[in-house]
Amino acid sequence: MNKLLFTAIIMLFSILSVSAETQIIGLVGNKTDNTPISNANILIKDTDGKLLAFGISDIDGRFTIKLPDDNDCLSIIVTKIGYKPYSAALSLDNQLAIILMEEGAKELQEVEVKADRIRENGDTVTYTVSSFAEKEDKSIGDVLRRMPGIDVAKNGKIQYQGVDINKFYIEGSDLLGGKYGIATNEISHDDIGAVEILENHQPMQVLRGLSFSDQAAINLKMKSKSKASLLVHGSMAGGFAERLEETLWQGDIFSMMITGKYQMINTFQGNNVGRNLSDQLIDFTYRKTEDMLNGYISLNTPATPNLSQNRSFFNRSWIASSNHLIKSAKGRENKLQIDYINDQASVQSTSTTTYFIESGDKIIIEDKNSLSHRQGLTGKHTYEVNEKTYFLNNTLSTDLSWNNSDMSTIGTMPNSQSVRMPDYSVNNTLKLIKRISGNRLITFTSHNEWKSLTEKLSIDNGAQHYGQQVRQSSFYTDENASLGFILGKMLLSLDTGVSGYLRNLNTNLYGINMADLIGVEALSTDYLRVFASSKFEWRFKWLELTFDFPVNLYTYFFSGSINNRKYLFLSPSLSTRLQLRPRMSLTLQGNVHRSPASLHNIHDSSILTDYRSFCQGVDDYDTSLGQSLSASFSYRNAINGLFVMATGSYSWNKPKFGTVQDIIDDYIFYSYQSHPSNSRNAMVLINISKTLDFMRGAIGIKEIYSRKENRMLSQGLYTEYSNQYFSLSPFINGNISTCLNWNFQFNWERSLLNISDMPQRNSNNYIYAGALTFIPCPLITWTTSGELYHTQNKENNLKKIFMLDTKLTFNISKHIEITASVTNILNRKEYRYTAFGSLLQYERSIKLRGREFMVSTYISL
Amino acid sequence: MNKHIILLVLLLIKVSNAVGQGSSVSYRAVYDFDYAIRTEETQRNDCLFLDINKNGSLCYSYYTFESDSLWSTPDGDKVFRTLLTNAISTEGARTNAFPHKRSKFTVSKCYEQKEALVKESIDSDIYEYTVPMYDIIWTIMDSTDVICGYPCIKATGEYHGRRWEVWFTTEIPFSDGPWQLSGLPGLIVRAQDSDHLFCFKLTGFSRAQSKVDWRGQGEKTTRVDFLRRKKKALINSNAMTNAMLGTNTISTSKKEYVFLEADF
Repeated sequence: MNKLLFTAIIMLFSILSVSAETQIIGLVGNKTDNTPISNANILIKDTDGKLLAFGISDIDGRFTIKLPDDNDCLSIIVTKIGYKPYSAALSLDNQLAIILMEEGAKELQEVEVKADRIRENGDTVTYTVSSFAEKEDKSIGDVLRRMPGIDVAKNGKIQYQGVDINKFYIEGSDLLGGKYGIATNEISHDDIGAVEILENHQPMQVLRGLSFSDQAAINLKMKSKSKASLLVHGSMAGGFAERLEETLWQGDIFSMMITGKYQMINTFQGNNVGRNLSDQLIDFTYRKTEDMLNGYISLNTPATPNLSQNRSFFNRSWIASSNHLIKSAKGRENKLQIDYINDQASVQSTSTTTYFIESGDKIIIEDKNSLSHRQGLTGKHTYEVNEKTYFLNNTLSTDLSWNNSDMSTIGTMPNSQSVRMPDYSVNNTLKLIKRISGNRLITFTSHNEWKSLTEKLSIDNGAQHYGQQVRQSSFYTDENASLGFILGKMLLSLDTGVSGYLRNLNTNLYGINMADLIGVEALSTDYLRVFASSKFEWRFKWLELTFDFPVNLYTYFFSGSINNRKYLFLSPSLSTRLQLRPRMSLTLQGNVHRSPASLHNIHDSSILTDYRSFCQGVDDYDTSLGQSLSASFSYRNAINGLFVMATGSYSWNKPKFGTVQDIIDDYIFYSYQSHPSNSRNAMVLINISKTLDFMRGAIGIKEIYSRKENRMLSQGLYTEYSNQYFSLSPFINGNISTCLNWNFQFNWERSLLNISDMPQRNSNNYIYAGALTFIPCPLITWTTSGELYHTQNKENNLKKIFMLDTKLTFNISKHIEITASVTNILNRKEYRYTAFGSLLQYERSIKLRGREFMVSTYISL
Repeated sequence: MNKHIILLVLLLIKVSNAVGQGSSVSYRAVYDFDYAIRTEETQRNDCLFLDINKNGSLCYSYYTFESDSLWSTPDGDKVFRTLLTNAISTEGARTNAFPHKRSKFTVSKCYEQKEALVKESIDSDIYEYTVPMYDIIWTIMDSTDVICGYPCIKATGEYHGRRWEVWFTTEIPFSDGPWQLSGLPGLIVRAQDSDHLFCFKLTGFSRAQSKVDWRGQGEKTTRVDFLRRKKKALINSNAMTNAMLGTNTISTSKKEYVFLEADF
């Protein structure tokens, strides 16, 4: 019966199909018995295999598919469960397409998305926290460090594929702004279900799909059990140290509540165990405006490369932070952040600084003992409306800090120094974007900032009391408006505005009598800037193009001997992003810029920056010309857990004024002088990481190369020099069984200093670091970690130091843990290293915290 | 005797052929389903099973099925109480680690009739109505991707007031998908609405015994009538709770309820 019916339909269709010109009509039947096949999928593809049209056969096996206009060389594919797939070239000769399918099994590929370690959906990559977390991990930051593609710096700053993130969201809300160190260090990973990376994230909805971002954002997705609950955890610890007279102590309490309307994070922490709390209050997304006040005086000892800061940080630190976000019914956000820090730190170090000069090296030996004290109070209020057609953000913030430091030095020039630096600022930023009638954008931005910085340095070397006072105050205002036109996939914006900068500098050097030394100065360096900028952004399928052409007209007003003047600056830049494949992109950027000189360097007087260094500045104004080129490549295959990032850049700078270094008696003078001074910088960064699912781990490698070439006038002679740095760091981590996990990292660093006509100087550092965690039963977690530092300099002096730590945790219940730890078991007392500066080398030895024993209790509610 | 053996062998060959041809084979697609109940609230999560055979499919919530199965057993209430007590003691009062209903719909699609029978409960009352299949006009996009190991093609379409962006694979030749979505030449493995309120993601696909619809016949209604009734019940849920418990709480929330369909 079916056979007969089928034949009848064939005949009927043979007639009807003649009239169909842009569509194909056909029948699907069983080859064995000619019975119609219903619900078969009919696919029309072009020669590239691209699906152009499709249909589904009805109960009588019929189908009708409208064909595209360009219908040459098409193929037809028919699929149906229980039948072999049918495939043939499609002929369009007004004939009825009769497809007879052979019965046959096609095994369908079965899948199960195991554990979902990493998932991707368009521009969102989702990491499942539980599949990366290990027993010894506490905070979400500990787990983020294990996720391929994500880098967490020691201070908590997060990068994705080598680029800083631009937002840190918790359940879609930006509670902490750039100060997300509190979240990474304190939020328990047990409260987070997943970490989402939102690639190419444009935080302002009004610009989505129009203005492109190469930065990603992170969003923490809470577990449902942790939402809308008050989460509290805290810890208390006590112990003793072999090298400290006082008892070791540490305590913290953290509370968090995340609901749809309200978010809150409060924390109060204190310790003297070497944990630097100020990192938690750094605003990682803060971008310095071009004319920020910078201090002149610095008694800071340089950070010790590679060594974890807590190894040599003798501190007594407290922080309190309170962050609140309230969302109104319409999604408008009010945010308030208040932070307080009280940080006291002491450093003991010995250094030998060698200045390489033609007439013979100058060597200075210093044994420094410093105690610094910083108090800071910051407050910030933000109101934000982020809608599809309207964006408003007003941020009012104030930052008050008092930095004091006392340092006693013995060695070549024994002395004691003391510095007091109160620093106050208040600023307000308003940004308003309105989308009008769908294709026009109006933006208004207003930024106003007042800042005051006072520095008082006093030095006593036994025979002489001398010092420096520097007072700076500034007011910066920037008002600009822009109009954007959306033309299809194109955004054209015209930006224009005015900014003004008023800056006063008062210097007073006392106690030093040297010829030709100007010690007192009162100077104002002000400017008025009128600017216009046109920006063109265009996106078409796999290509994004941005062309920016800012024009700035500066009118400078100087109170000193420098004449008032006007400058026009043009700085065109072009950026192209090619989406080579869905997960592979290449970005190329280039720009040419004439930059204004730094007002910081313009002064007649000599400013003492520490007991033996002077900054002399420049007594004229000029600009510098520069060009830069960069390329970056990014590839990810989240399903296979593979992340690849490579970036390279090269830049040239031609400032009219080059740097000058003069050593006169025991003092070093840094100044600027008009002489040709070309500098060239090159940088290459490669980062590859891959999950190792078979052992629930990851493997990766990071490579950094940088080269800086410059020229300096040293002791009246032009000296060419170059600094090169190379670092290679592979790492691997994983689980051997459910009761044993491990990680290992190796780091090789090579630094080179080449000075014209002098032999090359270099140093090599090899660092091996690893940790092993043993979990014999759910009650006990035992971690032992070690770091072997192996440093070598040109004289082949080998220095080895091995640091060993161990920690035993009793997981008494889900809410209580007791931990006993011993750090620096081998009681190593000092760390030595060699580093290079512009035309100098310094060999330092820094005092380490010795063997320390601690017992701590962790409680979570 | 020999004749019998030959007949038996032929019969076995016939049976094994039938199995090999896949005619009686059924598959289960498992979807992770993120959904919103009200605007501006965090999404909830469900696990949907789509049991498919050559004639049609049944889409249902695993958790709802688990809960219904438990309550249909003679000592279901006792077992439920034990599981609830255990969950509260280990995870606290906000736990949801005990059997409870999530999505309350089942969608039975019949390929030949091109019709889907939708059953959904409001409180304990079951309602049912039919909707036509293949009602969505899909636009095939240029984007391709590999999802869960299957090469996929992107398509967009509008269905009852929501714009859906979906990825489907021709590797699994069932013109089907989660919930009421279907009509593409392959299984829909991922679907997201343009307001980001609902999202279906395939997490597994394997051979499995199809479940039969365990719910009894519901009260017949139409799609629009049912959705209006459901909306009304949700809006009045606070008043109903007050009436049942004798309380007098006032809901101040201005958040709107959202539904998979937005055109009623």
